[in-house]
Amino acid sequence: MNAIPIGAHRIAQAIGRGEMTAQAIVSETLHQLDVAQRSFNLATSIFHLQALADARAIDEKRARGETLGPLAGVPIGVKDLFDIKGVVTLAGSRCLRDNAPAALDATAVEKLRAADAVIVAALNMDEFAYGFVTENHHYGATKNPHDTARICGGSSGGSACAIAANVLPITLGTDTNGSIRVPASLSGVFGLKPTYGRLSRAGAYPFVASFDHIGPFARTSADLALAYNALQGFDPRDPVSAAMPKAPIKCTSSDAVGGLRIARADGYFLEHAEPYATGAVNTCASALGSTRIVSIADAALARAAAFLITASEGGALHLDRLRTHAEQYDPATRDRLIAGTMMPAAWPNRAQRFRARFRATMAALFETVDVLLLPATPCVATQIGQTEMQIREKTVPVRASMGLLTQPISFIGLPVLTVPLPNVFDGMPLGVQIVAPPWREDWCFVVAAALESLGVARSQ
Amino acid sequence: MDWPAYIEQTSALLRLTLNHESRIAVARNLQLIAAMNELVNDAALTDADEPAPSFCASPTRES
Repeated sequence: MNAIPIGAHRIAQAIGRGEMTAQAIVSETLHQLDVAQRSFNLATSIFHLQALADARAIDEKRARGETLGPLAGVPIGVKDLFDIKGVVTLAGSRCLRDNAPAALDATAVEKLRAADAVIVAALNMDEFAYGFVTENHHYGATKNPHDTARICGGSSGGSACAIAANVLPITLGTDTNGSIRVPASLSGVFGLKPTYGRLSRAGAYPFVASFDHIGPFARTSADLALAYNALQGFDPRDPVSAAMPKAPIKCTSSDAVGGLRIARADGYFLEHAEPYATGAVNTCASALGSTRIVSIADAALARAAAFLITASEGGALHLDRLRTHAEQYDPATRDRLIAGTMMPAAWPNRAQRFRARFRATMAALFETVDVLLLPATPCVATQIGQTEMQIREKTVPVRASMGLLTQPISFIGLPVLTVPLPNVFDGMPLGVQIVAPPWREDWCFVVAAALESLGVARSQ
Repeated sequence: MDWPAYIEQTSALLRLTLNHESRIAVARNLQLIAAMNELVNDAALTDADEPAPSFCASPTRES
């Protein structure tokens, strides 16, 4: 068969024009997924029969002369915590294996299908999304396509891996403390964590209700926008879904970047990143003509408060099952969750009070700045099985520290687009966070498109 | 802080059964949580600083 066109836009275009069938695209993608699964362990389920049936339905729709959706025939994988009708949602755990199959699609899956995408796989993750490494105790580690001895990052590791391996053009993940941005950085792909409340989380297995977000991965900002546009819309099934009008990204032209006030941050974001990681930020700032540096007061406190709320809400969510099925958890996940249940209630409450204060601090900063550039991870991908790493000559645990630079931002729900810079260190990519005020995802896209057109950001 | 004693008491209160290895790991995690709490304690909050909102009394509608 002809090679699959590169990117979601081109796939949908080729199918819309009748240059290729959805069945041919999906069939070849399934073959590539099988091969990638053997190399990288990126999926927990691949839906061979259902995906081909769904692709056939799209070809029939076109044959009837009906208008196809913007994701016509685009093969998409979702993190294995999104409900897919008829499939058991595992959330990276053994505990849920005996659950009934999902009766409904998650809202995000429903919206992708409504745009005529084809769901082809459920993708590997850290157990219950509590981690940054995707070294899953039950389903194995997902390997980084750029160096299979290294992690892909997590918790949405399979979702980033599928993009980095060039097997899927779009995938879905979730981000509570960095679980889209960390794997996007370590795997060298684009990832979007929109404003808290922008995209519906209904039907996505929860972790920390206060910070849980969903978002897409892609190889370009244009494909990321295509997915993001399809996912938008108020959803009464999600209690934090915002009653905001849809704000589709109309184009990813970089023309508007000149009007934006762009800055880097010093202090915490310098001290917790290797020099080459801050160098990646400097490269972006320099390419954009930005020289401004700002200080984000209390970023370390924000990270600590996020840590406390995560431990408390995550532990409370699992308490019943920890009483009855503790042996089914990865021991490391179990013991973190149990510790969270034992924390005095005043601690996460104070963290939530500080959260409101920090939101006000950042709102004041955004009076003078439109967009912030920050490193997404302290360093490039570490080795699978590695437990400690060096950051600025200080030894820190890998699992807890990969999110040091992402946690303060998701803590207050700001929109962030992570752009990849290839070959930053040791042949590995690293991401830069483009952070905007609430509901200004469009500014993130403008900056991302500018960095792409300048040749600074691209998927590795 | 006597973490083993704290874990003994709170596990009974929460009706959780922990083996020896788990108790050691939970103590390590609680130490980390306590260290994070020390940082948050440094925040200069007043009685007027309410927790971040998470509940809305009225249903929301699409605008």
